[in-house]
Amino acid sequence: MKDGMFVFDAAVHTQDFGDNQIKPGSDGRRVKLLRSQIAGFINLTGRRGPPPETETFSNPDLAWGNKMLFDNSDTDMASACSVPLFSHWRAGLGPVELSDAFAKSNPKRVVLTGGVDPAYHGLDFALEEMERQVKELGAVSMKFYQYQRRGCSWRADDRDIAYPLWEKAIELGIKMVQFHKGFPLELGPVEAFKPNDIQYAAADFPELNFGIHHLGDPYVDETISIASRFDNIYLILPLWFNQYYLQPWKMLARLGEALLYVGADRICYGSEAFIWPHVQTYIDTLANLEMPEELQERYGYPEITREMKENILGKAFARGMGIDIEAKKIELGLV
Amino acid sequence: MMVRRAISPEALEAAFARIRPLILGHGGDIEIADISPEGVVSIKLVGACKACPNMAMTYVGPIRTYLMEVEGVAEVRCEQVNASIKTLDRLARLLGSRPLIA
Repeated sequence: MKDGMFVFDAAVHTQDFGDNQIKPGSDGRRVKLLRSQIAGFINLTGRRGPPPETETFSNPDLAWGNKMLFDNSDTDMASACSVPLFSHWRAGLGPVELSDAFAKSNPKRVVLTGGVDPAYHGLDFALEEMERQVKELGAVSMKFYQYQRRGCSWRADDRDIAYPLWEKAIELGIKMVQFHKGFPLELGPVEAFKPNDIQYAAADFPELNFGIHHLGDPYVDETISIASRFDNIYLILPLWFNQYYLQPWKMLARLGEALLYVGADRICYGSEAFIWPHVQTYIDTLANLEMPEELQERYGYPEITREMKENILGKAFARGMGIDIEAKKIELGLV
Repeated sequence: MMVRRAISPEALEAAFARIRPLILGHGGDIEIADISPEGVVSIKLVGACKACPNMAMTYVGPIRTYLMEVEGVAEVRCEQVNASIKTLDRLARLLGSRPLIA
């Protein structure tokens, strides 16, 4: 808990960027490129506090991960978030089995977000795999990465490819499905990650929540506008925190825009651990964040209240995922 | 001690009759969410208005202006409007409506 506020990290990854992930027959360019992109990003935006003992963003040790999240920071719960980018990866960028291992390493505090791809694996397999991940692994949510390679991408509003997934999610008791939106993780085109396809899906499945990661950057305005129109769309912040230190004014304006038009009850904290393992930096940043007077005056953004911070740090994501935060506090001995 | 007069349902309905056509004309509608014993009327915007980028203007302009004229209404609130109080006050003064900050 941070000053009495429950902290639920919506995006913790156990990704694997190792050469072992290079798919047979592939030149490995995409795996290596993303590895160097992430390392560059960390060097640019994340180097605060002491350097990690090891290069931690790839295949992290689970005991170390638990220590960084739950001993060395005020994090109370986390979602181990799979990244189903398969095309050039042997087991997917964020393999479900690694996410599952992390969830099982601390089942009271870590929930599993699985992942499938109906275009890459075929719809029937994706549906079966969703069911396996929920029933056998205990996944409570699914993350989607909708572009694998040329000719292999899909939209969330596709009635043939996507709607059976949402029907299956509801059948399995999933409350929220999540999407990587915006910046592509390798060489794919950015327009494949526009948030626009979430609109019909959110309208046609009002009983299901749709989480959009990364504010859809660079489609931030579209993402916020779309989320403002649908009560079942949640904005999941990762990368906002990472970019905040580089561009504080711009990031405050983005958060202000989201607070103004969507509201804090659908904005969710996520660290992208273990890109930068010292996540307490992010938690402290949000807990102490103030909206500058100039931004309030010129753009109409609200002051950032404690109630807003409580929502962003944990309440909003828990609500969207259907997790009873008060029961969790009791289970974890926090009250 | 000042005694607050009760809000007349007829007067409130008359104010809504002025406001509602403006809202309906934009594909939205307006509902009363709550009326407190202290005379605070909480409203909710639905339809197209609930996600309109200009919601703050709708609230400060026609809605709050008309409703604040109803005897017994001490304040008008809309939880959906997240703009800062300073911004709302600036809008109110710009529109010649009742300021939010004394």
